[in-house]
Amino acid sequence: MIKPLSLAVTFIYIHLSMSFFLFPEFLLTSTDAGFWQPLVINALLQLAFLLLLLIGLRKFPNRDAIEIVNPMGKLWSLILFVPLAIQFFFCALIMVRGHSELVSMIFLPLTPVWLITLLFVIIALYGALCGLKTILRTSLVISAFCLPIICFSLLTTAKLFDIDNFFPLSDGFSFVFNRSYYRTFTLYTGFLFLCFVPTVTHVRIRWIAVAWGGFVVVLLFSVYMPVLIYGSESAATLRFPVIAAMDSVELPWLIFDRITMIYSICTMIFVFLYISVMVWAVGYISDKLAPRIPKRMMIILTSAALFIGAHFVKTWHNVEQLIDWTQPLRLYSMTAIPLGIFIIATLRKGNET
Amino acid sequence: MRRLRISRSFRTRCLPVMLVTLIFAVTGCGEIKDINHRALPIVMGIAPGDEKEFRVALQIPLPGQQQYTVRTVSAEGETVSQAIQRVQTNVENHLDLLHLKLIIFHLDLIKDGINEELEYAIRSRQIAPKSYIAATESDIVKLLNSTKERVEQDGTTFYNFFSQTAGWTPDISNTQLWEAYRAVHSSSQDYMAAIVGIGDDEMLESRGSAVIAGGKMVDRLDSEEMLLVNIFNNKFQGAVIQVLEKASVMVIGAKVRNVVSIKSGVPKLHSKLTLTVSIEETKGEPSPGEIRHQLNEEMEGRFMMILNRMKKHEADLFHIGQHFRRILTPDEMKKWRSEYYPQLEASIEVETLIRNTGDLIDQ
Repeated sequence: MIKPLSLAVTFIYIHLSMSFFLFPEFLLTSTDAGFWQPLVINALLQLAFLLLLLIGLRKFPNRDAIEIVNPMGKLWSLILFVPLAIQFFFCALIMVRGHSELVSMIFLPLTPVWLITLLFVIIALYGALCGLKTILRTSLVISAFCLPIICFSLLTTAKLFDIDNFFPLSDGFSFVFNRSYYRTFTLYTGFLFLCFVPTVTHVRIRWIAVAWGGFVVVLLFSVYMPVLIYGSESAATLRFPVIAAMDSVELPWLIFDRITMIYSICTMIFVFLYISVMVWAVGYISDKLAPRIPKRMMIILTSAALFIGAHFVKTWHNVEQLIDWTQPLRLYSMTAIPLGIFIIATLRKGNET
Repeated sequence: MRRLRISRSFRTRCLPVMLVTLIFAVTGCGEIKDINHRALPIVMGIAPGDEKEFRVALQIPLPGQQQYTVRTVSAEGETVSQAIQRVQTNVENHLDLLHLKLIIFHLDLIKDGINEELEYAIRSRQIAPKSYIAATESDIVKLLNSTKERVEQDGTTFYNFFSQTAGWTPDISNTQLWEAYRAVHSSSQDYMAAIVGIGDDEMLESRGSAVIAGGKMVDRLDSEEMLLVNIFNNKFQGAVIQVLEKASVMVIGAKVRNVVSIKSGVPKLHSKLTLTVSIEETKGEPSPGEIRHQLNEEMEGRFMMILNRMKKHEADLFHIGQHFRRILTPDEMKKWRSEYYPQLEASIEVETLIRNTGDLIDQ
């Protein structure tokens, strides 16, 4: 029995795993001031599509998204879910490569990158092979000790806050023309994994909505923490603003010299889980659309592709390019899938009655 | 039921494979530098070199049998990182700047600007942003050598000098690296670096502070002026003696309230400073009112004097521009130092509360 809490927690960490590394950097460079504007606009957009998806899924209890769409014809499933699978794969690839670079920058500057990539891929592969049920159950256990540490380390930074840095409140809407702004969508597509949850457990809208609220608050905090400490001009020049801000806090009474290390490891665990979910989802989609290929085979193949793909992304610049190139795909999946599922579910329900 | 059994056995079969693979990935064998092969410098000094651009000196504690010894090594290079690299070649252990606590810049270097060096320190990610920065007029190698003995007794001496939880007093500036870096890009926050020199008995001697604006040293403040700046930047902690004409008081609390406005393009600031003091010594028999009055005048005069000097240098030491963020747009904020700050009309009102008079009752 999967508790609704574990699903809510999974929903939170899927978003959190990214919100401290790539996301603040993109958001801070997208505008000069008033960072809450793009954040809130995107989060509300996400909420709209999230609710659309959940309402669509609720019309057919215990059926996942593919089972809802399949009776309308295979073509529709292909149009909707093949891009989604590719999107999931690239999300996983960006996470693997981005975070292996981060691990290399923060902890292990001398270790070859492929070893770090291997670590990510192997753990994700094992998680994906065990299935979504296991991942959901694990996430509850892991969050029980990771989330308090993350919250604690975030709150310690409050002593350096300069509230004046919160102002000016707005810098107009020029961020709409900024490329960095669109990069932040990488985070918001995380919710699409919910498409495949109904086969495992019932999705409760109330729990997901609460989880959404929780993650938006943490997101706001993670963006404003470096701004309140460094000021918006300096924060925008930092590669990992959250890490730098956290490194600036001095806590003589704490036994650890750098709280960042523990914090990064906790978020890294979330990244492992995130990648597992993504790889599992790719396997699941292929299983439903092409049942002839064994699911496990597909999962192993996906992981192998991840490992090899990570080799072709050689520099940090490549990671950013990859994010830019897969942007249309991401926006397509984020909008088309909730809409498609909602429309198809409504039509089918209408035909049945 | 059958399906479940299959998946479980599959999982258990998979586990050893994963664990064995992890042995290669997680042991971190790529990092072959053991802790006993690492040298962890605690103080770094940067000065202009004789032959090349920079001279970098590092103070490295080396663990011994009973007590550790301290070594100072230095090298020159065209860039800071090259100089560190040169030191590395001369030291048998692997240099790890992770635990660096203090960076001392030579004043000659600060006069030319240290923004690039600060950017290097943040960019390289080796040096913690919470390490302190200081300035010196003495030769850095001599400075680090002369303090060797004290550091050998207590490895954290340098750190304690600046640490708020140890021997720091609010009349020394204890700027941290991140605050200095913040000023590189910020339009309204400048900072100071404490000037230290070789002391007679103490290991370090405080000789005021260097005011750094736009990465360059523009002025110098003594320790009494420093106190006021620290109060304004909410860095007051502990207690500091202030000597007046007829009494000596201990400042035990300080609070600042700022009200800002802009009228026809001229920024206006009204500050209200509340000081809580206790009387330590008196000369003659001053009434509490007299002491209050003297302290108020003293502080007001000091504030106006520093502010006028800073306005001339376009150095926003009191972070006054921060309060105007609520009023000005981001583009106007960028012109804060050059256009608004020199026109600033400031007024200050000091209120003193004599909380107690010590163990003696004043008549």
